[in-house]
Amino acid sequence: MTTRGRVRTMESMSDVRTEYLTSLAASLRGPRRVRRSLVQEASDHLEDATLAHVEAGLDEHTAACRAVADFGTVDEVAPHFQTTLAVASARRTALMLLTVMLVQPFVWDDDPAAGRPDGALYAVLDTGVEALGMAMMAFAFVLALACGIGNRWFLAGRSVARLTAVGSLVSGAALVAIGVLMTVLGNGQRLLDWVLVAAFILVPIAGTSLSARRTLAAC
Amino acid sequence: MKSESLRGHLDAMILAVLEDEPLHGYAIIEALARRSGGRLDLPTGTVYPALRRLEAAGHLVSSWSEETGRRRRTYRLSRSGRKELAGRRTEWQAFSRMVGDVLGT
Repeated sequence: MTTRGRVRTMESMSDVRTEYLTSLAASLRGPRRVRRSLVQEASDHLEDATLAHVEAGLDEHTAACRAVADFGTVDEVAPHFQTTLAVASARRTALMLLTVMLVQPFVWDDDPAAGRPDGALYAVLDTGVEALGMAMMAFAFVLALACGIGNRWFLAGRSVARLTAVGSLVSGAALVAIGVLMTVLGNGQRLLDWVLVAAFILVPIAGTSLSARRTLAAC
Repeated sequence: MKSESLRGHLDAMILAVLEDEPLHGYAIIEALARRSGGRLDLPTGTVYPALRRLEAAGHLVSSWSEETGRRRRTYRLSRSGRKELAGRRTEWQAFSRMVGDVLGT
């Protein structure tokens, strides 16, 4: 087929293809970059398949319809695409949480000059934040692996994505609660303490929680 | 052959068709159809999520390339993909031999 013929064929088949791709794209939720590249690949596939059918002798419209039919209905295909998106979103959430947690030991490092506040509650919270921090770090590390290279050993599906999102939301809320309470109970009401809490806990956990909510929406 | 019975083997079949050369999505699906003698009956769209999953697992590496003036996402086997394929082949041979022995074929 000549280049001009190819272009004409692609233009005329675009209605069927565009309608299908628009419907597919509208049914997907998840990270924009992954979503775009998945839909782009679907578009490339439909273009190649249509041209192959035209070269095999079908008229342009029938070829485009056949390509779309072979690809599968949106109801058949979208759940598979959606799982890819949910897992990609979960991986991003887990990596964000891991990054946030990696800096926590430095945030919670006791300032010898300030001294450690007295009180049983503060001691419990101090122990709790350490345990929670370690657990969150391990959780984020395992889930980031599970959503990526872990696919070698088991398929990470939407249940893993949901676990990542819910775990991130719950543990993030617990960390914020403990962080704020410890700052209130801490040495005075220094502005610097609140700046540190905001910069290293509130803002990063808010970002992670937003990503977790998007992951839940993609599940 | 119906998609349900193929689902568990799709990953291995994708790795197999990429053994010799990198291919883009449509070429992978064509190769699957050709090698199966046209008996592979599954919505072709379901192959793309499998490609992404294999890539996340590190068995495939993808890159965008330009072919005849059009951009295409091309996949190639990684070292771990080759190892995985070898393992899947060994497993399949043992499995099919065992079932064949039991069925008396």
